[in-house]
Amino acid sequence: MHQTRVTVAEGVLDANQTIAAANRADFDRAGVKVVNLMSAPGAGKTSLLERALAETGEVRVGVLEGDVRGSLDADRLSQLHIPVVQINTDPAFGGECHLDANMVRSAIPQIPLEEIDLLVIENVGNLVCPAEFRVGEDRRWMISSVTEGEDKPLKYPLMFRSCELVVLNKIDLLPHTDFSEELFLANLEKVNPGAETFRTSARTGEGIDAWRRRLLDLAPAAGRD
Amino acid sequence: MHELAVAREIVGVAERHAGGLAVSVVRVKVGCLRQVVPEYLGFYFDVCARDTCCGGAELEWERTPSLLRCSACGAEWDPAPPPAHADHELLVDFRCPGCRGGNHSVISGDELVVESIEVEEPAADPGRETAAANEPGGG
Ligand SMILES: Nc1nc2c(ncn2[C@@H]2O[C@H](COP(=O)(O)OP(=O)(O)OP(=O)(O)O)[C@@H](O)[C@H]2O)c(=O)[nH]1
Ligand SMILES: [Mg+2]
Ligand SMILES: [Zn+2]
Repeated sequence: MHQTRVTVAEGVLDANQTIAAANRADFDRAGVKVVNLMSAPGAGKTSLLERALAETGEVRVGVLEGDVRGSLDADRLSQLHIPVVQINTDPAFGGECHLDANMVRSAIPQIPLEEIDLLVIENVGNLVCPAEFRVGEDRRWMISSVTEGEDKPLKYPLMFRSCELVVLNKIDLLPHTDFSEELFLANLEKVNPGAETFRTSARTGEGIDAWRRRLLDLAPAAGRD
Repeated sequence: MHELAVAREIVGVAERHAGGLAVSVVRVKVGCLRQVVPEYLGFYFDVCARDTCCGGAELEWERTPSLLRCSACGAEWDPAPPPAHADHELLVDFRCPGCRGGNHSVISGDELVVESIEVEEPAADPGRETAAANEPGGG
């Protein structure tokens, strides 16, 4: 027996990127814009979507729900009478902590792409893994909430840098915490200079209209004819 | 666990390049800008490699430092130096320390690459670069 070195020089995530590109091509062909919505567990992804997608005008929106297990979030959003498809991440290994391109790929046949203009993918609540795995999205957005503290951009720079838009949610709680919005924005500016920001409360509805408009504006104009 | 998914991808890459041969070493480069902890990676690699051609293989990792270059003034800096002490403040800053510019290129630190593997071949293959066959305990 003897050892031979084989040069590989391949990105660890290249295979995922290839599948993500195939997903993206399918979405493009169907004229569907896709937002990958990420956050720590419980930052308010489902709550914000419940609020924002309650009135979408002529834009037809669908949701792909990634969850480690169960269909609680999908059931909540189904109340809005929009297409909701659920992916449970690999229960074989204790539950995967993010969506990858392959999981989204396997869900595509269930998504009525011809009937929607915009697809929001609610990723699994996690600030680490979803930062690495592209799924074929056009936009990467994230939600950070007042109860998580101001230091999250500094502790999870990869996630905050991988998103072009950050929503600060649960602003109704600002009077009850020592959270400094100014410090949060300064920390965000350090890791992702120029990132677009929104402030919302899914509880009171504050800021929802502006965020909803931003979201629906992503849909191709044809969807609003 | 994040490193689990990354480890699984690493095994997949190694398998595709091993040509059906047994793999004894997998070498990866992990940049400091990636949120991958190489120590955990080794543990999960062992788990994921079981029952594949990488079973029992060693994962050798190299950490590459984070270094950016400002697109405006050319300054180079480490945006996220490791804190000298666990309770020290995080000195993360991706803005240029010279001109405060927000645009930069990454010189080093975002690597997550399988560089090479060592496969065990029954006989020499002249098409491949051969490493000195001094496996400990081999023979
Ligand atoms: N006070 C307050 N509570 C909120 C707000 N948004 C969400 N919550 C609460 O926070 C909790 C988590 O909200 P979800 O919408 O389920 O969060 P999520 O990000 O979808 O959670 P996962 O999918 O489990 O990661 C719920 O109890 C919500 O009622 C907000 O703006 N203000
Ligand atoms: Mg949710
Ligand atoms: Zn500069």
